[in-house]
Amino acid sequence: MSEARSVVVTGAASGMGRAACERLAKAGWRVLAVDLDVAQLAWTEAVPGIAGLVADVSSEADNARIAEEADGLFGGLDAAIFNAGIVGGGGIDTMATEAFRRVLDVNLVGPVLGIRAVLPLIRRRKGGAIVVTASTMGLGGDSQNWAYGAAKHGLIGLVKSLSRELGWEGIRINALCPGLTKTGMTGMIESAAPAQYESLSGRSPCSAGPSPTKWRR
Amino acid sequence: MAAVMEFLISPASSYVNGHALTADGGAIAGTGLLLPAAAGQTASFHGTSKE
Repeated sequence: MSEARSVVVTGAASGMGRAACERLAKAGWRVLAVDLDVAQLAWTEAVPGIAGLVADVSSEADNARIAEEADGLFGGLDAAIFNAGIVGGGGIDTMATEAFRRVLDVNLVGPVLGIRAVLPLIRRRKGGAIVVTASTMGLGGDSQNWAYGAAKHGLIGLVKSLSRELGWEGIRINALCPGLTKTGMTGMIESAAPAQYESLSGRSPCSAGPSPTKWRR
Repeated sequence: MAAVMEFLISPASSYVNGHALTADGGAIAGTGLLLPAAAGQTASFHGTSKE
């Protein structure tokens, strides 16, 4: 490879996002790691090939800032991984509308704004790849998890539609649907509802709660 | 998961587009119609007859 490829990863402070950043940097990618959590993003300062940026993925202005930063650092992008997400559970009768909107803003609107912002940089490279982190909750449903499920189902619809819109330009887009993966997000479920977490962990015949970097071989 | 992300942005997946790739160790592959198998065991029913 004559020139290192460049990628933006959101939700990079911990979990799958951080694991992706570290893996890609080791593989020679230049990485812009984005997260809202200033303190948790500090890990990027010590890693060659990774630049950190604090931004809110649900904000149009912040997505524009992400694109500007990537442009300044790399002069274009070869890939983008929209991985930032939040959980949001509750019954249909009880979950606050504002909480529902926040789940949609971060998990669904965020990737839309992000894709719009970085597309000019990917087009500059005459093609590239986009990944959004959906979930197995984007393929099925579960009680008390309708808001998260609605957002993740929406993401898969977004990916399938955009694959037809952007594929002609050499820009691929795919969704990753992880099952239960041990991260900060699932840690919340583990501590708040241990029985439910145990039940979810037991569903996979391959492992119980794989980490972002590995699962049983 | 990081390895799957790397695959999806690499040239190795250059003909993969518009796909929702499940990485859950088979958690949602079951139909739920059979008794759930405990760790290391198979379900109680196989094919069309009870063993």
